Amino acid sequence: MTRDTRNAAWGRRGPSSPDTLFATALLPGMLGMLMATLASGKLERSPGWLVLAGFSGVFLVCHVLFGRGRRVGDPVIFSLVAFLSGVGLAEVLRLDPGLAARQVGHLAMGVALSSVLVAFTPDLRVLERYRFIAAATSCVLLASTIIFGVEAGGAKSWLDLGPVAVQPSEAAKVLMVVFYAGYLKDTRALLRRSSKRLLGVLLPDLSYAGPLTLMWGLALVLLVFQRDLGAAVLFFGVFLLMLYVASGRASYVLGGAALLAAGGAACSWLFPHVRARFIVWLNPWRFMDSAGYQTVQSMFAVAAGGLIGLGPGRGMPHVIPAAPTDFVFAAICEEMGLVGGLAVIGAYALLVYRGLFWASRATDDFRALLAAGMTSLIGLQALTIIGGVLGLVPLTGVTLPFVSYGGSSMIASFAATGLVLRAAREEQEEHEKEEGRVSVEG
Amino acid sequence: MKDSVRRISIAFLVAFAVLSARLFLVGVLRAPDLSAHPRNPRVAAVRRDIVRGGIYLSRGEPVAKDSAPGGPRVYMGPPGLVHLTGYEDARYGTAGLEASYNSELLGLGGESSVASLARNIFAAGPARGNDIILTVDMGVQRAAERAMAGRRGAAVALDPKTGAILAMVSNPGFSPGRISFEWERLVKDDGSPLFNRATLGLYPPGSAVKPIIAAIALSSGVVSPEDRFRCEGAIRVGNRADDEREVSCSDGRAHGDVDLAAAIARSCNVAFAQIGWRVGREKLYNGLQSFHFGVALPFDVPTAAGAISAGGVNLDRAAVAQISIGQGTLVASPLEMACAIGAIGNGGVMRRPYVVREVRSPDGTKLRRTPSTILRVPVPATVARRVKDMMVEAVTSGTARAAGLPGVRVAGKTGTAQNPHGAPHAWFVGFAPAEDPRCAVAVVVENGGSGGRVAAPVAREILRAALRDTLR
Repeated sequence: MTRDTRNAAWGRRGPSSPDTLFATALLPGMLGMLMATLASGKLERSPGWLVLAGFSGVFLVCHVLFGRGRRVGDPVIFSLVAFLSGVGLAEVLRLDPGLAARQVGHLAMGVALSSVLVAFTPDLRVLERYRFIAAATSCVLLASTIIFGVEAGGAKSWLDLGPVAVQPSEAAKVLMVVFYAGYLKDTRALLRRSSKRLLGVLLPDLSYAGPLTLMWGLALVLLVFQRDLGAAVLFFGVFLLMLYVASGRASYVLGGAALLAAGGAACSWLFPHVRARFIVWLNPWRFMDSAGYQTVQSMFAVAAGGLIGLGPGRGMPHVIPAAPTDFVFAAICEEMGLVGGLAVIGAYALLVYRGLFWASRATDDFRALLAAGMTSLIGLQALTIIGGVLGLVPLTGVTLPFVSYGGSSMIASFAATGLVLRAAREEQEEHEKEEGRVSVEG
Repeated sequence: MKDSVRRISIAFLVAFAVLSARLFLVGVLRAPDLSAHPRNPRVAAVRRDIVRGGIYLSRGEPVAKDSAPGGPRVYMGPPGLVHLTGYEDARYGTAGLEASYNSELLGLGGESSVASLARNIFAAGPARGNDIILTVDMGVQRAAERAMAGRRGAAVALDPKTGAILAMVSNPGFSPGRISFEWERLVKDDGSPLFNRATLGLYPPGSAVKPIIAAIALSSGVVSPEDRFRCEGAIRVGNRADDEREVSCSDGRAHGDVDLAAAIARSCNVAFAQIGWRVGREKLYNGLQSFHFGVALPFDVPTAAGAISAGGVNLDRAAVAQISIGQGTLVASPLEMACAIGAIGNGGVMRRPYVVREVRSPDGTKLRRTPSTILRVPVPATVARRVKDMMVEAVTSGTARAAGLPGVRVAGKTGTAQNPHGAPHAWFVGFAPAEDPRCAVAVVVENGGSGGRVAAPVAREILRAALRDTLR
């Protein structure tokens, strides 16, 4: 094991210290919030100052509580999350100060949940014991939206709880990954052993095929009853990636992807709303006044930004539909330019890289699968929505993790990150114990 | 498990790299088009507080300007040029150069975002778009408009050595500043006043295409200047003996034995039908294509492609004969005819036509100058020279005498094109001075009758204006 897995690698001072890293990550968001506040014109009593103070406060407190980043599991992941939250909050503040104030609350709850998971989880293996409860809860949450759900933006994925509306599918996603990790750990050996072949393709035995078909069915149910293409892709996509991690067999993933494609094709044949998404994706310009409006407006916004953007408060991101939520990336590109957009994409790339790094280091299978699954969830979600906003893949209504406005999504993303950070911290602690033993013996 | 995690990690990195590339494509490479898209709400927002750039003729004569930041636009240019320069209207959008140079006129693109940010922060007063300077010469344009006054049709004059447009007239016209008041009437008008006949109007060229056919015939090697063709006033062109279709010369006059030069000078249809057959459908078709017939010309405003035939090279005997006299399925725009005849004048080299000479920033610096480029070389210089001499003969002693000017050798060819809409269209194509052409013209007067009587005098006035400094 190399030195960088250990806390000792993070010096107290200098360019690679967690303090420097953390400060660098906070700065762009804070600068953006400052610019958005200045551009709003009313400097006194502007909610911008409160948002700015709330944001820096939440992250600073967390940073300090975790030994200035050293006990947070992975200061890089923590800093990347702070960076993404800051940039997102700055753009939401620029679009709607009222939403930004609420978003600070979501951030505080998310960071708190993440901190609790990192600091107080006795051991991730405890979580493993609750895998079936997690699965059941996840299914109940999904079922609740199918039965009691309220439609918003074409997808029936909201639950109206009086003062607040929540999106249970966000929590269901995280719980489902917990279940996947536990289930795949159990069946790992079986999955790898299967060696029946049909036309040269490795066939899995029933232990694999059963749950896979179940997951496939779940994704289709989501598609059909909830009209939530994004959630379906995420549930099934993350499952396939974790299945690959557990089995090491690309044929499973390809087979699963083929199943999803077939399901998608059947759905687009059966349901006009799914078909419309695909047709619009192929040529949004033909439908720029109807179903392609969002994509076209989003591309206009991205093009308006140029290299460095117009600056927060100087663009016209209000004309993008759903700018604070699904299309926040387009708004960021308009006002922070190619540089801002690439920084956000780069942050996700690095976040995924670090998360998977911890998965590959994990000494425990459950921990590895959990870290890989949570990381893939965030990575896949970012890819899906940014790709949709840029017209690269069909548009699906999912949020950009940490960046989009939305409490359910924010808290779920922080929960996922918290579990990855917890896995990293356990890995380090175990490693330190081992080192200690080695040095005593030596 | 380590290996599969690593592979997934690589797959994610590749996916994020693809995403970055897509962002670069949309945000940078396609940004100029997207930012100037007429349906982009940002364009309207920019327009509200910008002084849109002006359009000026070659010596700085203004054509279109903003009266105040945000408009409305004031038009003061020559009335015959309105189709080319177009209009900008809050309700009816943009047309002509106002449309194709919209982003330059609004100052979108062509400037780095750092520069535009600096301008936004430091500039005093309203932002200004860029000006565009045209190649159109006011003297030639005025002369063309006077000569075309009251006639439905189009005239194009260009410098065959560069491709620069000197004048462009399309009749009837409209008032670009009054578009929103007159729209209903304009779109209902039978004369299609909004239609740019010079670039989009497609007409059978009639005999005006004969110099081109002669050039194709000579460069194909199967026809020599000494070859003679028998004209008895009419010739059967049908595929079978019982097919009675024929091509005849005007008034059924028999020209006797004519060579290529005489066939052009006297516009002998019977001879050209035989020339077409001898060249053969394949070489004829390819030759016309090399002169850019049937293919849209690249230009600053949209152009119509025209057509050689509906079914490509599969022409029957009658179709070959018809095309060789500029009838049948062959149609071309006046701009196309001017470029093609310009190529004959320019030693067989066809220049790409252009009308915007340069884009200038508000402070007067040249942002972009249009270079003169070669579009095609359809025939060798020797062939072009031979055809040019035949065209000179047509003006000195043939059907195009009305285009002659004292003290200068004019090369030209008339056309009287039969069409289903009434009297024949009157055509003239030519250039002057023949030995070193500075102006090539194409004139079409819809249902004007005889090309020699109607179109040739129009061309003469245009050429006179273009050569005014040498004629005096």
